[in-house]
Amino acid sequence: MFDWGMWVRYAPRLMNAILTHFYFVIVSVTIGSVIAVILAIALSRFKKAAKYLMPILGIFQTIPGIVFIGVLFIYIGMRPETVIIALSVYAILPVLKNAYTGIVTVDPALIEAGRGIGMNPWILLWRVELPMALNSIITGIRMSTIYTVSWAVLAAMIGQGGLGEFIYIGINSNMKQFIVMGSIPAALMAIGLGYLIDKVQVKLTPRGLRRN
Amino acid sequence: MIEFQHISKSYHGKPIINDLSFTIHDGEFIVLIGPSGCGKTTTLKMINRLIPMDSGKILINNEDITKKDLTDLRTHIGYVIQQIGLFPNMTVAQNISVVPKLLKWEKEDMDKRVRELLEMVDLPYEEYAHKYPNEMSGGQQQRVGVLRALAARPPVLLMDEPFGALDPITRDTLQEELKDLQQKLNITTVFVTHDMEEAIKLADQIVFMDKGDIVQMDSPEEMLRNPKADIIRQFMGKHTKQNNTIELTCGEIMKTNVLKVDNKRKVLESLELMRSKGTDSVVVVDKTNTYLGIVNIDDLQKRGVPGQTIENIIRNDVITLSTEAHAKEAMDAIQNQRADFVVVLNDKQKVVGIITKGSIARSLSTTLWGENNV
Repeated sequence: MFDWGMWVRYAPRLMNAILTHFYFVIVSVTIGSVIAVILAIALSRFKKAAKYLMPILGIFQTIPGIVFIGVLFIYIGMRPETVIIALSVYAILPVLKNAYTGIVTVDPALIEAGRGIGMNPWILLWRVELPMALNSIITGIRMSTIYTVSWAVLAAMIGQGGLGEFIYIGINSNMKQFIVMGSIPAALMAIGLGYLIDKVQVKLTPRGLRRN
Repeated sequence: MIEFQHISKSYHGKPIINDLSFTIHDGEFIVLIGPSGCGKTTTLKMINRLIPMDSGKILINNEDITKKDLTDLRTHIGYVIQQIGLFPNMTVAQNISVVPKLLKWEKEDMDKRVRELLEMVDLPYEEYAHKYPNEMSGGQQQRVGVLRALAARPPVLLMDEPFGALDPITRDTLQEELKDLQQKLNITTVFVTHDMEEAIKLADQIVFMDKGDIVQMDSPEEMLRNPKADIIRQFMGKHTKQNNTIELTCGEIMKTNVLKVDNKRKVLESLELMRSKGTDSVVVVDKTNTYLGIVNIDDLQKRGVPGQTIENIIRNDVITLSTEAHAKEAMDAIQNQRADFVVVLNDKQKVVGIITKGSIARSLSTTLWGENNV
């Protein structure tokens, strides 16, 4: 199973694939999260609309990634942008759901207190609602990140590299070693990023909001 | 001055407030009270425009509140709610600084103000300023809630059942602190409660509301004396029942076996008597049993000259009450003036008894639970 000679021989190419993969994940999750948080804020102002909109957005998520990338590929072509757009769209929903829930479940007493002492909606959002929802937002980002690590494998489908390259070669040539070389770094990347985000979450949570 | 002029409000066609008009003067402590749904909270929240009115006007210092900028209006009105509503993501200092920050105070001014305010309610800055709300008790949190409302020195303070969720002892303390602060700062306060005891304790004027109307607006004393409607009477009954003092006189609760000495008794003799009876002081009477004062053992030992009578060291600073006096007076004397005992005299100034902490406790328990259980 572990042919060390092959790992050594393919090391430069594997390194390259890891970096590309990582790049896709980071860029897509960042874009997706920003869009998601903005959407969540907007939807939280229109809770009635959100009730209908959220399930519709959920439907997007059920479209297989392979189909979505395929369709985008037709319009945009074999470019990294295609991958990033597709992955960003997929990264939106987990963050959106969590951020929305986080914002709308802020204790109404805090909102009333904030309004009552003179905070305008914008200040209330920045100083109360978002800080209170931060934990939930980060949990969403963590979910998105881990999903995106696995979805980014699809980049190779349209020749954009990443760890999927190794996996596809492995499947096409029936060489298990390549599949292993593609999937182990992907798994480690998911675990590593998850761990990192956990650390950031703890760091960003003020003492007053920590459960203990 | 806050003036309500013909304010009306309804929700979904159901009237909540009917043509409400009244005036709150500067520095006054107004308590809005009434059964749930009477419109008291709605009335309060219309002052800082959390609830818009349908018709009528509210003027603060002759300015129509709807003509003012919302942030400007609210940053100049302190607001305290029952759920406390401290921001859990901010420290005590940050919570208190919220309004000053909205008003763009300098950092040093905010720090100074936080210190000053925490000091006023005995929460030392070093210990509490950097705590988070969840690291404090409910009572401490609501103290901070009040400070947050007072931070930018607003001329008006609105409080919506602020102590409703606190335990009775904490509530009592906070009520006293609030009344002190309010008088010290001379801040016009509008306070909503459904607790008549609280209203009586705090208010300069009580506004009793029912079904969106003012039933009576009067001082607590006047409302207690002359409730204008049955519903007010019921409310007072419900809320002041525990306060009904038991009608007892001093004569009924006193101990009658008083240790007395004649004023011609010699010092050493008296000392011996007190030692043998294990008492620190003794009542002094003349031959006809008329009260003269008391002698205590300290005075006897320090100032008494052996061989002389005790006449020269009689004290007259002990509280005396008649047998007909209300027992409450004796309790007051012992509780508030820290007297060890009270001497009870009949109408001819003869000593008939003595009341101590022990006799009060005994008579109270007898009254409350009956003789047998004592």
